[in-house]
Amino acid sequence: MPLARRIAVLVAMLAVIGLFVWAGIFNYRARRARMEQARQTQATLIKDGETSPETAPNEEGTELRGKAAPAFTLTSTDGKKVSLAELKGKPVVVNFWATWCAPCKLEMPWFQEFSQKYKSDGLIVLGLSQDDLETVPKGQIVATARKLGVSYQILLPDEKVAKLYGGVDYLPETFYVGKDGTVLAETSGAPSKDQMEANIRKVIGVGGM
Amino acid sequence: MVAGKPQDIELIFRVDPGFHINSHQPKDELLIPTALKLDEAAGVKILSQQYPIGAAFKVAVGSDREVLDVYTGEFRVGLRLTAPRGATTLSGTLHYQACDNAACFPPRNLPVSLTLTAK
Repeated sequence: MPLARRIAVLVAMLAVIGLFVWAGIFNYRARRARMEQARQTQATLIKDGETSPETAPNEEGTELRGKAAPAFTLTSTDGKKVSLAELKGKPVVVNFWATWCAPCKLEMPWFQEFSQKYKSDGLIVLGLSQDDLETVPKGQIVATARKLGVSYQILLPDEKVAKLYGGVDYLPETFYVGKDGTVLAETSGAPSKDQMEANIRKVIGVGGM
Repeated sequence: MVAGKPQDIELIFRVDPGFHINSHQPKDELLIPTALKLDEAAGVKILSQQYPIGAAFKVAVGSDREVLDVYTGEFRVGLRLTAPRGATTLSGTLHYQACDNAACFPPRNLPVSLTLTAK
């Protein structure tokens, strides 16, 4: 191929490559501009006076994942004192529920099932009732747990503990606490059974870490 | 309204889309019924309250199902009452407990206030 033609082909190739690069930069800038525009126009509709659930902080101002689970000592329905600190070294599920919460009662048999399945891994499930003892007597809480086939410990309500865990204003709410006392996962609302088991496996240190 | 004569009025409530509240007669005794509680007002007599029938609602968590009796959207609570001549303010609360498909909020009280004018 003559030299002049080689140079012409080279120039043409460089021009094409240059065109691709320019088009890439142009497209990238256009994409960024569109994303920025979309971000600015995106809004989450919430009720007056409410905070967006994604950004809603707990009473301590942050979510608990990755932090030490707030300490508590509560009384179980059979009158025993149960302290989270004393369970350090064991994986613990802290599940807030109430007798009036239908989704809570649907997921509790799953916690019962997993508490047995992972018993040899030291899994402890604690069910923290959020009932108002003035309107829901202890006997009703016990009867509800029994009806659901729950044999893990049910703890009686204490508003202060709920506040430590962010107010717990949306039940069920569950905190999965690792052996070192750190919250490794938290869920608001009933998850799927598979998600629940995945979180449990995370705290007992089987996969998903 | 005609003073001193039994009259029927309706209070209209609206539940936000995506949420439901238990009806006045939920199927499970542990569930919290929606109930209107009105304070006493001079000369006003509440003769009866009428709540609408709820609709069946299936809570879907995993493969389990629980059927609830709920109000969604607009619902009306009827009142049969007598009121004295002139304007009278009737106050109270609507006690309810709301949930969505996967979770529930604690029971709440919605303030209710209405002015009755009878001649």
